[in-house]
Amino acid sequence: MGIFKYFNFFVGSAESIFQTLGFQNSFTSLNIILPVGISFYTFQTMSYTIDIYRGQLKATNRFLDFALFVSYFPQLVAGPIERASELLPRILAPRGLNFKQSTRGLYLILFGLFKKIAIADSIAKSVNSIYEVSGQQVSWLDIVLATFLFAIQIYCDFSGYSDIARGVSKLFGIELMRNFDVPYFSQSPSEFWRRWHISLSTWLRDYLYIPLGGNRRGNVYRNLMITMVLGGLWHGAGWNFVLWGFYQGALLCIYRFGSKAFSSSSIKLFPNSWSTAKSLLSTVVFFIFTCYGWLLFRANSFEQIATFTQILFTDIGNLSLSMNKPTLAGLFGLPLLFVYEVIEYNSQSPTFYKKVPTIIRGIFYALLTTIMIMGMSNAPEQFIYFQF
Amino acid sequence: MKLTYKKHFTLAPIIRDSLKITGGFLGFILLFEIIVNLLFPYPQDPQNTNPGTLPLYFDYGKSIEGKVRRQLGTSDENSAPIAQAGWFNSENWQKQPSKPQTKQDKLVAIYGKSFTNDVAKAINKINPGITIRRIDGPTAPPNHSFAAYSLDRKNHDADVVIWGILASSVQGMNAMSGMTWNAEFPAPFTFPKYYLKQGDLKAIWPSIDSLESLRLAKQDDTKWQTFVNQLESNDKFYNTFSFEQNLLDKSAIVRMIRRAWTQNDKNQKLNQIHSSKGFNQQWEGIAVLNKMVKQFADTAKADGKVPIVLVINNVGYDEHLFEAIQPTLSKESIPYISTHEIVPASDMSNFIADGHFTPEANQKIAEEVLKLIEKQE
Repeated sequence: MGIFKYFNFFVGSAESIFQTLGFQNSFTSLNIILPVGISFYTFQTMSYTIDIYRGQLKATNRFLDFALFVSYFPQLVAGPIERASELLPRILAPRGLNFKQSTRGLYLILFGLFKKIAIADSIAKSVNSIYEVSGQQVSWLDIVLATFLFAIQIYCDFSGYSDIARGVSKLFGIELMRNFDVPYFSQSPSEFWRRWHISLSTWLRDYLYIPLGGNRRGNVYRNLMITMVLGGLWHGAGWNFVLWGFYQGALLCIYRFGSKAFSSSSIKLFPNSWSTAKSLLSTVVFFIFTCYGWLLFRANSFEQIATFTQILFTDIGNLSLSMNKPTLAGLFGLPLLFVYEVIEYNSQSPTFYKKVPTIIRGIFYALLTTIMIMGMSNAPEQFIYFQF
Repeated sequence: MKLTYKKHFTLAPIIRDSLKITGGFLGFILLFEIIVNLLFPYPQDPQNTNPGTLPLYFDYGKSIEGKVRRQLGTSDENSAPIAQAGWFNSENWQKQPSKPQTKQDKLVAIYGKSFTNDVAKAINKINPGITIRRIDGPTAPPNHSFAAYSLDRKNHDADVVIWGILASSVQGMNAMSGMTWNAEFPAPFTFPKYYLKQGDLKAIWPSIDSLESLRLAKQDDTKWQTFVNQLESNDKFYNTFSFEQNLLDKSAIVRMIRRAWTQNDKNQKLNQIHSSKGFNQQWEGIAVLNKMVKQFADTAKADGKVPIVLVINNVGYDEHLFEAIQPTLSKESIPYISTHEIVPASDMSNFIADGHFTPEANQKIAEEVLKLIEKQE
């Protein structure tokens, strides 16, 4: 992964630094194609080796089963990143398929397709119309809306893929871990990372953060920053991903520091009876912070980050809009997803819909299918995480 | 071997649940069909060009044949405006000036589509002494405008002939009608399909060549089938599912599926022709286009007219069209204007929301065209 993904990045960066210092060096770069899913199966394979080294897992002597663990196709290219200690035993165990499992699998596939086709691809064009084009005068509202929509796009794109992967895997009788748990309802950075890309955040926690000392040994803030910056770099060989990781690390550090300070003081921003308002406000405020992180993530260059950030702070209230409108599927799909996730968040169960009368479920499946069909005429977009 | 079974296992709840889910599913689909068809019907009047957002949305996937049939009135005049556009030797051609307004003025004949029209208007605005003869078609590909030029070249005394080629319309060289390659808004006008035979440009002319003949063919199954067979053999954008009118047109869900399927089919065909790196040089259309450019310049010069090729590089095409025909333009010393040098396609500030150039961009292009015309004299 170091060679395929990062060699050219570090060589190019070194070259730029030398050029800035006045040296005209030309380093060799590799003309290679990045294998699809390399970040995912590299981490998955590392977990196998590390778990064996730690004595937490017994090495398998069945090559084919190991090969299946590494190259298990439903989650090969974009996760969830499965632990050897979890997935290998499921592969080795006798598998069966029952009605409940297959209907849940089919539902996950449908819901994943709905998120990807009806929502993510519907709003991709709107996001691209602000982030992908040069020479265009963008307003404060353009950036706010495009970044907000990108937050929805990346969530629906990535969690949609994870749902499809889990659904397909269920049809093979193999459970994959849940990768997203209504992340945008988080009220703090630490909660967000317990809900967003769970397989990566737990991997980083277990194989990087805790070995660094976690929150028990050494400097916790340093540990957090190293973990998040490397987590950012994992996403892609680009400085904006490093910056995004740094930003996430900074949010975690500030939150940790702030929480400690508030818990040791007697200041209370809200009375206890206002807990709902506090939760709502925390969710909204933290979502705004998350969205700014997505701006760093989505931007094409540091120049774009600087320009957009400047507009966000200096052009407040400019409501002219040049962004392309989302398609009808997105406009129908987004409110439906929002209501669905509110219910899911409140019920704290991803299978809450099973409590709904069966006939209503049939209607709901038809609604998802109809909106998905509406979205099928959107220009198809590659899954965002395929590039990682 | 020991056979085991679960004592309490029963299929009844599974069947019951499956039936309920299927019932709910089908019930919703049926309700959706009824609501969409009742609340958002597409107006049947061919002259109605403003059906509303949702009726238009749910109509995108109607079969091409169904849409074309709806566009046709009892005469040319009461057919839909889009059905009247783009036909060769139409009444519109007769209305175009064939001589300059005064002897001191110039006549410029310009062939293309909306992009070239915009430039023509800008030319006329800058220099009202230039009379413009405009021949075009909605979303007309180069084979339409080249054929139009070839048929029209003896109809006027233009000093300058301009052929505008739009990058995104080059893919239409694989088509024979504005119906097939623009399925969502089919324009029924037809045009020949060009190919090379031993280096010479040859054309397959469509069996329907006017709105009147289209109307007649719609009343005569044999004529219509001959035309459809011709499309099936020569038009690469033709496919039965998108084209043929049938009962499925009544279903809103099927219309949405057909729209998606048609778009996907078109994108797949486009991907074989063009990528982010440029036009596929192996595609026969590029050789045909180069030959057409050469023939356009040769015939115009032979007629004593100044030929100008207006290379229009629009959004998503960078300077790909220019790169595709530049060898012929250079080799044959053909006067040209390529918009990428004036208003780059990568700069969105040059475009309005529907993808056309801004008035300022058209003005810049027109100024360069006028300079080139002066230079050629």
